[in-house]
Amino acid sequence: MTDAITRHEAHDLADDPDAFADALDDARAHTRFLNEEEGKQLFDGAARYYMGISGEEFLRRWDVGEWQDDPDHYPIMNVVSLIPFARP
Amino acid sequence: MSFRTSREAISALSDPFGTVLRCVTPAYVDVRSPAKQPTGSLALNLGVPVRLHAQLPIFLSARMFYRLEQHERLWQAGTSAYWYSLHDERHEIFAYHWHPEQTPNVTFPHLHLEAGAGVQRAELTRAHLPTGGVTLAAFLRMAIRDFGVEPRRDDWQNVLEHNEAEPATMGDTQQ
Repeated sequence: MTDAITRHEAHDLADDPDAFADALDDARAHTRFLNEEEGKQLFDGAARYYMGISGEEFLRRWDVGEWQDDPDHYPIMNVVSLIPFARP
Repeated sequence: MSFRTSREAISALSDPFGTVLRCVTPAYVDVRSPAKQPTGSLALNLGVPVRLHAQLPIFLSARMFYRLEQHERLWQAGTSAYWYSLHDERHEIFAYHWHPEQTPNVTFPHLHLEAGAGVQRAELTRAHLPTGGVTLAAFLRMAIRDFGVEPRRDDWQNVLEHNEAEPATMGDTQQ
């Protein structure tokens, strides 16, 4: 078990805690917290983009293990990585 | 780090995720935290690749999962998976992944070389090439340095460095 992410000290902020406040404000203004219906719409659009099927069909086939042998490749994993958007 | 609300805990992850992405793209980040699931997701640009500003066509995809936990009324959120990739106009070129819960037989951080990389050897196109954990900031730094992506901020290096301290929970990364 390793902590594989390298953590850097934010030493450059010690002198100026507001140095990147504008960057943070900008990021927050462009972050959307989606509700259940909006999440389903995002997932459906992505499933159609990557796989040419609806989000509902992708979930049905994923849940019965259709791609379980080797799902870790384009385009399947690109949809799997969005599944929380589709769950209640 | 613990927070009084789940939203504050999620923001501790979504803030650096969004901040580093804003160095290269104006696209939105979407967040979904299902009420009945412990795992939520962040995704750039509605989950589809977004074109970056560069001489050659290059597109970015970035997602991560987080896991929410509550201990004695305080909330914590940690990264539980990530997917970062660059694409050309037709294909994914390469992708850095870590998703131990989605693929129990591949629990370590790894690199995929996909069709856009022009790899000929069949084993390599299916391989999970082991890596250490890769931060989104490190990935974007590579995109700027090696793929000619033009940053949107003059101070992008400082922003990436500051936000490299992602509050990640890298659990099982055995290779």
